[in-house]
Amino acid sequence: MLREVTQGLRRNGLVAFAAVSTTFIALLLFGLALLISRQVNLMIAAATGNVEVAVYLTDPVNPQAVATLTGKLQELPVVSNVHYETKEEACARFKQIFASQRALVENVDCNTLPASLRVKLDDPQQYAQVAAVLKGQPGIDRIVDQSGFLNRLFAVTRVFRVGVLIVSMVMLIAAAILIANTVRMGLFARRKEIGIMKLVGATNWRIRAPFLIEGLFESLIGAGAAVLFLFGLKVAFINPLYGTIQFVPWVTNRDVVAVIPWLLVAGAVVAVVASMAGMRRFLDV
Amino acid sequence: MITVQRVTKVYRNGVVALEDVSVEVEKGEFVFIVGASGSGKSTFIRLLLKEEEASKGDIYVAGKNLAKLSPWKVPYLRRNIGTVFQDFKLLQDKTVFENVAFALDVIGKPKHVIDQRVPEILELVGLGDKLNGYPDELSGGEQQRVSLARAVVNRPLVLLADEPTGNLDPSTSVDIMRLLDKVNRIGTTVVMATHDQAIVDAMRRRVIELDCGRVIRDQSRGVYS
Repeated sequence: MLREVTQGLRRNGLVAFAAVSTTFIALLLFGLALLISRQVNLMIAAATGNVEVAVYLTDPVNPQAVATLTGKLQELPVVSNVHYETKEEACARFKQIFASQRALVENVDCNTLPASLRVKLDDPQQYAQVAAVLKGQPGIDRIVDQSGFLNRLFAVTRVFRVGVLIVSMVMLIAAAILIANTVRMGLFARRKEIGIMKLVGATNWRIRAPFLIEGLFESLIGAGAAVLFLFGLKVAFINPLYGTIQFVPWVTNRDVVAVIPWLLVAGAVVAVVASMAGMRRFLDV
Repeated sequence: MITVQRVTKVYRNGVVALEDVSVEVEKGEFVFIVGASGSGKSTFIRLLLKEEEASKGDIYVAGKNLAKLSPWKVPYLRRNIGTVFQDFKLLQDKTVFENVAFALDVIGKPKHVIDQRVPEILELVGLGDKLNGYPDELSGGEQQRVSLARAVVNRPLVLLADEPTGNLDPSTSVDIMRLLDKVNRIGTTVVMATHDQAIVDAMRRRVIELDCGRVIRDQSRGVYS
C-alpha cells in the first residue's frame, strides 16, 4: 500500500509539486493571518491594558472615594471589571512602556502620575452610562474614554486580517482543486488496476486509501513547509525587534507553535475533502 | 449456487439485453452460455457480478440475493467469484507472481499466505517456471493462464469466464479448457460465455443458448447448435 502511494506521487510529480506548493502558500498566509492578529492583540493589550475607560483620580487619593466609585461602577451591568491602579502601579507601567527611553524613566517623578480606576466594559458602546454615573462624584480628576481609539484600531487591523484570511482561503481552495486533480489523474492512470481490484473484491476503502493518503501527504508536506517558513519569518523579522523596540510586546516562539495545530488541521481537512471530491463518481461499484 | 429467476435487463438507453431469463446452476456444474454477439451473454455475466442490476426478477449467487445486497457487501460477494476475460486484464508493470499476488493483497491476505498460495497456483496452471516474467514476455495462452490463476487463487465458489478463448488459437484454447475442467473438478462451479463452437462440442457439458436476450435452449451434455 505504501508503495502504491509513493508510486502515485512519483507518477504525478509536477502536479503533485503544484499541489504541495499551493498548499504551502495557502497555509503560510493562513498562519500569517493568525500571527498578525495575535501580534495586534498583544499591542492593544499593552497600549490600553485592554480597558475601555480610565477614571483618573484627584491627588491625594481618598480611599473612601475609591470604594464608593468602585461600588457604583460595579453596579452597572455593562461594567465587567474595575481595577484600582495605585500611583505605584501606574509608575511601574510607565517605566515598563518607556523602558527603552532611559531619560524618561530616570527623570519621572512617580508622584506626578495619577492613580486611576481602570474600567472594563462588556459593551464598549455604552461609555455614556459610565460617564453619567460618575458625573459630579467627588475625587475624580478626568475620565478618558479609550473605546473610540480601540474601535478604530480594531477596525484598521480587522481589514488587514480579513484581507489576509480571504487571500489564504482562496489559495486553500486552489490547493484543494490541485489536490483533487492529482488524485483524479492518479485514478485515471491506474484505472485498470482499480478495475481489477473491484473484480477480485477489494473494498472501496482499500481502493481509496492510497489516494487519500497521497492527498494527505501532499498537503501535510505543504503545511510542514509553511510552519518552517513561519518560524523563519519570525526569526528574521521579529527577533531583531526584541532589542530595539522594547515597549511593544512581540509574538514569541510559543505563539508560532500555537499556530501549528491549526495549520495541520486546515491542511488535513482540505486534503481529505479534496481527495474525496476527486474520487467521487469514479469509484461507484 | 446460481439462481436467476425471470430476469429482465433493460439498459438506460432502452436496449433490452435480457428478457425473462430463468436459469438454475447447481454447485459444481459446468455451464456454457452460447449465442451470437449481442445475445446477452456478457450482460448475464455482469449481472452475476453485480456490475449491473437486473431491471426485473431475482438473482441469487452463493446464497445472496443480489438485489438486496448493499453496495459495501458487493466486494465480499466478489471474493467468492473468480473472473476470466477475453482480454486477460493483466497489469503490464507487474510480474506474473505480482499479478496473482495482487488479487490476494488487495483483499488483505497476509504475506505468508500470498507467498505460499501464489507459487502453488501458478504451478497448477503450468507456469511454475515463469513467476518473474512480465505479461508481455508471455504468449496469449500463458497470459490467460496467469489470469486464470489470479481468478482461482482465492479459491472461489464460482468461476465466471467471458470468452476466455476469444483471443487464442484453437490448440491453446484446448489447454485453457483443460485447466477450466480441472478447476471444475475440484468443485468450482464454472459458467463460461463463449461462441467457440469446437470447444462446446468437444466438452459435451450443459449448454444454455441465448438469442436476443432470451433462453432458447437449455440442454445437458449439449453441443453448440
